Amino acid sequence: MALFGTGAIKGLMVTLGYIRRKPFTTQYPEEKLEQSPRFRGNTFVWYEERCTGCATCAKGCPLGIIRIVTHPEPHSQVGSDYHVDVFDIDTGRCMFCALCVEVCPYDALHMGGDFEQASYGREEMVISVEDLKAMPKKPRTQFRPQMEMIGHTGDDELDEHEAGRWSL
Amino acid sequence: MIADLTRGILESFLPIGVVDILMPLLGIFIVVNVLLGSAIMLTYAERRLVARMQNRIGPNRVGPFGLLQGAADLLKLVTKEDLTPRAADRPVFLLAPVLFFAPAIALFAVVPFFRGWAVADLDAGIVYVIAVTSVSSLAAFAAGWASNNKYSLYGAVRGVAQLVSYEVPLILAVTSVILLSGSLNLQKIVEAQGIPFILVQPIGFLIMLVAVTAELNRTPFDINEAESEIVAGFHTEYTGTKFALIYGAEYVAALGWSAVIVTLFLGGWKPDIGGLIWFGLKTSAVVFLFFWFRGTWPRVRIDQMLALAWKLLFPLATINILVTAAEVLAAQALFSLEPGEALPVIALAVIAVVNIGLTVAVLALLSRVPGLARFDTQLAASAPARG
Amino acid sequence: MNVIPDSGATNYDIEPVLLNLGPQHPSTHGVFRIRALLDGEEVVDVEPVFGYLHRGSSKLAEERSYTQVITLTDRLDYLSGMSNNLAYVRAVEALAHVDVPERAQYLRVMMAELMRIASHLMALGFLINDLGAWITPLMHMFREREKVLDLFEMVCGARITFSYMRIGGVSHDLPPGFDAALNAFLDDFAERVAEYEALLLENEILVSRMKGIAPLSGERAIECSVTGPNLRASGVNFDLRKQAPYEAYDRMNFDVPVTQNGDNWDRMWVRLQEMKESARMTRQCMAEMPDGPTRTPADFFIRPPVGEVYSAIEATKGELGFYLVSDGTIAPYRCGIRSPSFINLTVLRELCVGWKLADLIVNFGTLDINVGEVDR
Repeated sequence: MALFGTGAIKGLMVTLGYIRRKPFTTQYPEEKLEQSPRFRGNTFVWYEERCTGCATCAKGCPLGIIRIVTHPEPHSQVGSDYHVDVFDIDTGRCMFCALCVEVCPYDALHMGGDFEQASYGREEMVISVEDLKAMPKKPRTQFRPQMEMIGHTGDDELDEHEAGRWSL
Repeated sequence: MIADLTRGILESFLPIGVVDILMPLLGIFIVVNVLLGSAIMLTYAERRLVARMQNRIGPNRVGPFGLLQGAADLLKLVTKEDLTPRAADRPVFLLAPVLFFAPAIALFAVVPFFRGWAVADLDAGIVYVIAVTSVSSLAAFAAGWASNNKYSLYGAVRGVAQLVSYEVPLILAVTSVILLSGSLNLQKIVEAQGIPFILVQPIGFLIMLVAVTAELNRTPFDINEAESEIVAGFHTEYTGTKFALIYGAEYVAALGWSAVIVTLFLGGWKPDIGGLIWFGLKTSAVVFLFFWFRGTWPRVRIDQMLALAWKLLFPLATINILVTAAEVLAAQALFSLEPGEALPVIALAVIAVVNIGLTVAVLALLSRVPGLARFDTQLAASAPARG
Repeated sequence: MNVIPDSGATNYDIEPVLLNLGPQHPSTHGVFRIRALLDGEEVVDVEPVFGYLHRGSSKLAEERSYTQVITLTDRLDYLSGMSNNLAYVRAVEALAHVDVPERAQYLRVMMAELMRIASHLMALGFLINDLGAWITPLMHMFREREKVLDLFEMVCGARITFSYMRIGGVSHDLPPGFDAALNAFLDDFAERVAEYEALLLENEILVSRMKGIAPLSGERAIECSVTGPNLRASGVNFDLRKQAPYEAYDRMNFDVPVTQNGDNWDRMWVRLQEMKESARMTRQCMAEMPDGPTRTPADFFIRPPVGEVYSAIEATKGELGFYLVSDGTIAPYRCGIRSPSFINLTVLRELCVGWKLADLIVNFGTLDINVGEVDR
């Protein structure tokens, strides 16, 4: 015989049980959740040595926010005839779909894992070629199965030889 | 004891007439300040507790364990720009928060904190409680009407309907306690509780709990500030200090009503040891109950809520009074007591057994009412599908 | 808007109140706006106003290559990006005649079903929130959704805007350790669903708020092109996963929950049951998934032959269809979207009129629309 109100009390018991349990949430600035190796962060990892300046990434971008300016400079780079002068990625408009990473034929551009890129102005969100060079070379394994095969988790630095499908 | 000590100290350097005036003022000063402090802490406690029910941590940034969160919120609200909508009825708009706050605090005047100690030991204490708290319906309407906002108006109209409806079962539930204790004096009601009246009057307690939840606009009866429907109800337009007053008044009132429930049903300051501790613990338990409801239950609809008050609680409370009166008369005849004399424990125990049995019967009966029945999940799972 | 029934205002000399719910309102699920004409608490008329979240997805798609459009579909119904991806890439595959490897089909089904769990969790959580249960069930359901999103992050690196499906397959195979993570989630999820049922299904308040409120008949639902859980709650056993199986659904063992009354309670209950079925299907996908490639090579700038195609799937909220016209170039000539949220709104007015203001919010909640998909 069910008494009136037992259903509601059953619900009360569920919530009461949760008072004893450990909260699911984390305290963000102090403790950070671990990102998966494939996590697409708000940064990019670029290997100058691998890049030929072909601008396929710029063509693959759905928003057209990658701007590449190159000039020919024969034999200065391995596997390339072009020197990249400008490589602007406007992360203020980027939606981090990683299509540029997917289409890169030379595995030169990778997603980075950092997501704390807040700034006070849109113009500060444009990643220039100098920024790209200075960024830590910790690529995520998004579209890079060869990195997963060597057990890369995105936390270690990889040099330009380890990052690509074929060695230089 | 403490009161006597304070009086002694004051009398050593002040004339007796001045002390007679000072003593109640001192009491009021202490009670009001303790109340304001506890209202601030209650907001923190509710947020922490409900957060844990929601598997969250809750406020934990301001001070150790976030204990100063309430103070920080209060500071933020008080320093906020004090806005009044241009179309608002300004005097009424300003008056409403005060109308909220004053009765919530005034409620504590008659609450017996421990044996022989209340700010004002009125003989008609319970009548005072009901009289003072009914002002809040006026305040809700004043706030909603003066805001000149449709959401506010809806909140106000709902609030009045709700508060007025639930006064009736509330008073009837209180009446059954009065019948048992034979007194309107809250001190005497506590003293009459040889057994806590929650056992002697389970139906009365349930009705009181429901009615008080409605009176306090707390879930599941928070329809006059239902945020998913009418934004914030009657206090949609309030900001800053005025909002802080309304918000604080809700918690003070929750505390006050909990204290009244404790006094009427949970034996008040009994057992008479440890001073304020028992009273405080019991009050906190009732307040926790309100927080717990809020963390679990959805809201009822306005028509369901009024139907509950008039179609269920009102007849139930009336029958409860009749049953209780019969029981009290029988006990008086059996033990040859004078009218108004407290019943002996043995009589209370017998009444308790009878009434608990009746409560179970009523709840079982209610679960058979089609409109109130619990949904059978097994039945729904086996319902055939139409191709 | 001034349609006041004769029986309403003529009997007494009272003017109905026009109440704006939204676009900024606690229960409008985004930036939806309802202009409600109220007679006291009773709803006399309801007019949905939308467009506050219009992004012009159809037009944007005409400017982008077929692969790039996948990123736009993430943002249609932002609570079920995987389903949108799937609906779109299936349309392109039909247009360009691209085959999908079997492993990719299983992966797609698995992701779509996990997405259904996440989406229904949100639908139920916000619904109970609309019912006034502060945010306790919502928070509990958010927690489960977080776990689903963690799984998605493992697979494709994103939590909301997945862009996971690709023309001819999926972009990534499963990462190492996904099997264990998925099983851990599914084991936990069964317990959590039991907990939701204890918290919700037997609560007398919830029952009285939802049972018999705003029933929608099966005939009317079909007339108004209502699809998805809302249709199945009205007693019509129509589910594209069963009626026109796509991907690996013909190999899946699952039941389609159908209820008869079409009231708010049924709409909630159907979603709760669908989550269980989805969990079951996900488990089956994981167990039966064959090895092999996950993607048929297709050009990034694919040029489908001239033609047109309409392809629909059973997305989380109903039938999500893409109508694509190709003129042989790298971008679609036309990309029409049949969004279930938008079309399910057809019945909003008749569901709400005559009920109380509080019911309006709940009716709207049980329809489970997503403004991103309504406005597109």
